[in-house]
Amino acid sequence: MSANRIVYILLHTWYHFIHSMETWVDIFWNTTVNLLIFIFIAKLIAGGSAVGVEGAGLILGMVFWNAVWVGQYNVTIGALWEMWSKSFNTLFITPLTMEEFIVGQMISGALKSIIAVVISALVAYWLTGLSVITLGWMLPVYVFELLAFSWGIGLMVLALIMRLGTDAASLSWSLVFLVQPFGGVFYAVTVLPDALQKIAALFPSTYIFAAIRAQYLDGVLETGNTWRALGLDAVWILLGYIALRLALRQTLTSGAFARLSE
Amino acid sequence: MTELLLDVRQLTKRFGSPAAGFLAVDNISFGVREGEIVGLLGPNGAGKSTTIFMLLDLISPTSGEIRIFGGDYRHNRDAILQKLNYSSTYVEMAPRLSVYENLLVMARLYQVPDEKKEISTYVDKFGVREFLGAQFHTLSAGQKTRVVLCKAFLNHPALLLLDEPTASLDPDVALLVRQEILESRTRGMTVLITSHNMAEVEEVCDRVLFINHGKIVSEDTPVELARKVRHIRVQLMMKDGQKRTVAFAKKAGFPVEEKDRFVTIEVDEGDIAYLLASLADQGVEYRQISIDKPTLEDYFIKMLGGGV
Repeated sequence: MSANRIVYILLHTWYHFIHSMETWVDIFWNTTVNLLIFIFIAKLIAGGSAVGVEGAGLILGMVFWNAVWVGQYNVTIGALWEMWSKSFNTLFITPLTMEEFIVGQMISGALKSIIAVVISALVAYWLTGLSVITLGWMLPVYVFELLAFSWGIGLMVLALIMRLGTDAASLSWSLVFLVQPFGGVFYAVTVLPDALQKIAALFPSTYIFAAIRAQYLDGVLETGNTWRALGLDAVWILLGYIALRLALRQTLTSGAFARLSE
Repeated sequence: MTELLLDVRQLTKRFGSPAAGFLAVDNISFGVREGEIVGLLGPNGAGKSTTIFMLLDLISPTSGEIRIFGGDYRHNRDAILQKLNYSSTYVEMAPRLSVYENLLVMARLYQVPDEKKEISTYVDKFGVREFLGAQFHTLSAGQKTRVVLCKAFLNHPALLLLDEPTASLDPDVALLVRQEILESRTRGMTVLITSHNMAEVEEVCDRVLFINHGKIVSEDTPVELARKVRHIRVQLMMKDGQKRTVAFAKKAGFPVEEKDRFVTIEVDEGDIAYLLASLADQGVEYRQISIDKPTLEDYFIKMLGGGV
């Protein structure tokens, strides 16, 4: 793997980003507007200007959810833009490898995620006084763990798009939302039926959001949940990578990869 | 004898299942030597593009072996792609990036030394400078092809694969491309080219591989392939005796066409003297005569019709 080529993919992504208003809207506008809705709902439920404990849980969930959403979206949309424009395989007749391309997308997604989380956190602080800075040195750990989860999902979604073609493009902005109801984003998974709790246990987000809420709302540092999330992140990334390699091999055999330029 | 730069052995590609699939490339073998310009010709669906895509590692072969610069993709992908490039009318680049941004990213991916100077050289050569700042998706088909050609020459490839490189180009730019191909060959570049422009192939190629139904059906220089079409067209602009000329040709068994004052007769090379002498004996007079030797295009047409 060449670090230089990863940097050039970052350059490519940056050039694309500065010319594409819709990417700005997707990443920063939508995340901020969604957060505003959650803040006002939280205030409505609390019945006053404060958001209350449940409301704080909702808002924390939305602020940090942006790390998952933007990170995953960037990995898949980065490839999709190239597929839609039929320029995807032009990149791969250079020495660039799929791994270098993906790592470039992951890094660029991480940067955008961090910006999205910062913007969301500032909006939340301005409107509710809720400050994620109080999470201290665990804040970057939580963000990193959520990003790692987003990369795992991103790899799996990309594998599906490669396998099924760009007709499955909508998965890039829809599949990740399956995590929201079952992944403990806004509430403890104990409210879910037993069967769904078993599914929730497979998502790193379940442990990360539980740890964030425990630390922010109760002042308890749940290191066990943090380690569990890290282990699951590794499993998701590994499975995502295997799925992507299998899909790539299949498209190279079927000719679908070459047809991405026709 | 120069080095075999591209060595393809028993290459086969079958899409789908062995029982019901489609055999796109059927056990072909060929080699291209350093500095050679080789044409890969054949009708649509013959297997040319599938072969090119396998040479680019964009399609996995079902069986067979591809060695480029003495190595294979499994062990030498980085080294191979560093010295190889590809251009086609169908190649697209990142749509939202400007032409310059696209070329800069490509130059860096190929680790081109002094990339800005190289970009500047080819931008001028292919007349791209005037739209260097435009986003790629705003360009016309011809402009896109010129940008992709810049990309293809940027890394001074040792092996250049060209698929219809001049389709959609104005004749003056197509001429520039042919000149650049021939000039690059003097620097040692090897080229494998597919084209439907037979005159272009005749002009630049040292050798032609003719592929049909996934098989290489003939291989020779353009001149020798054209010679396999033994019929020569003799076109006469008649002054007197047009009906006698047509009647004689038909009686002699020569294919003949008549249009206004022109009569075109197809004869074997050895029968030209006999034809002209016979017409003179019959008092036929003509104002002009042109004798067209067979071209690669004639070979192509005859080949597809099974006439060679």
